[in-house]
Amino acid sequence: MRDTSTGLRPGFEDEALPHLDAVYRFALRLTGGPDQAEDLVQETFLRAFKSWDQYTRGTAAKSWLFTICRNVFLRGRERGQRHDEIVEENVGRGAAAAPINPVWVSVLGSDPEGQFFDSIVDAKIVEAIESLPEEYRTAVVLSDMEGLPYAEIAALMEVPVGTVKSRLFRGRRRLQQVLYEYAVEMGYISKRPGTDDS
Amino acid sequence: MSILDSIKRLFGGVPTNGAQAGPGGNSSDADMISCEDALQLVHDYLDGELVGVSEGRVRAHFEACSRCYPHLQLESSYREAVRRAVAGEMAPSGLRKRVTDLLAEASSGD
Repeated sequence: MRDTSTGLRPGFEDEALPHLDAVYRFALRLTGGPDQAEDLVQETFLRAFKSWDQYTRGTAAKSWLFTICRNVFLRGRERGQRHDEIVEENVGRGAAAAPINPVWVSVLGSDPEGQFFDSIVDAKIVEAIESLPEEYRTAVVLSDMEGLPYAEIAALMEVPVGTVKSRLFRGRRRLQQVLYEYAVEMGYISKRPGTDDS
Repeated sequence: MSILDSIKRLFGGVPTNGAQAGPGGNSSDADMISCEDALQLVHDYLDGELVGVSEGRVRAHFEACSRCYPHLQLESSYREAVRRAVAGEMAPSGLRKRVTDLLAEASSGD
């Protein structure tokens, strides 16, 4: 049952290895550092390889790898590396409770197309994402960067779809607020008079 | 505009540029979703995750409503920026080899 060209399990090379870059990006966002990310990727692929017979061929290999990656990361974190704040989980609230984004209200007058985002360097955006609590960060990274559907994110994080939506809502709003404040600070956008309390 | 059209419009039979048609309207534009609903659905719309409402109805609102449209545009600009920030971010060249070596080693230990 060996793939003779590589010595790998059949299908693994075609289905799992192409996601190496995506898993590395995800590992980077989780760990925040290239060295830890590389370690995490190696551990992820090793575990995936060992449990390859549990994977149903042709299904969402990327999500499956992300699931393993996150589980390895969270288990390592339990051993006392990084402790995030506990995020508030009010499923069902969020968009329904506050449909108007206060950040957008602040920029509507001066930059209704959001051009200030173009001025923010990529490294600053990545830094802002990595500052989010893990539950928000994972949801935002998987949706906004990797384009995973809500259902796959829900399965991966072992929460209902409603919780994913709530985490995305809060994570995005928080990220947008941080990026807006940075843009104001850098002078990319002028602060709207009378919004000091934002 | 023909007299017939004028009469139809008067009775809500013809949509008026997609804006608020009267309660008697029977086209799809006539039951335009509210601003509140549109803003609540902006994420589901952009994520391609709308349930129970068509993309066309949500799009129609944003295209017709000058108050809501910037919210859609800003949300899109945010997403583009986030995607751009990690575009082309790839695993270091040595990592792929380390991973395949590791797997080959694990494989030989079977």
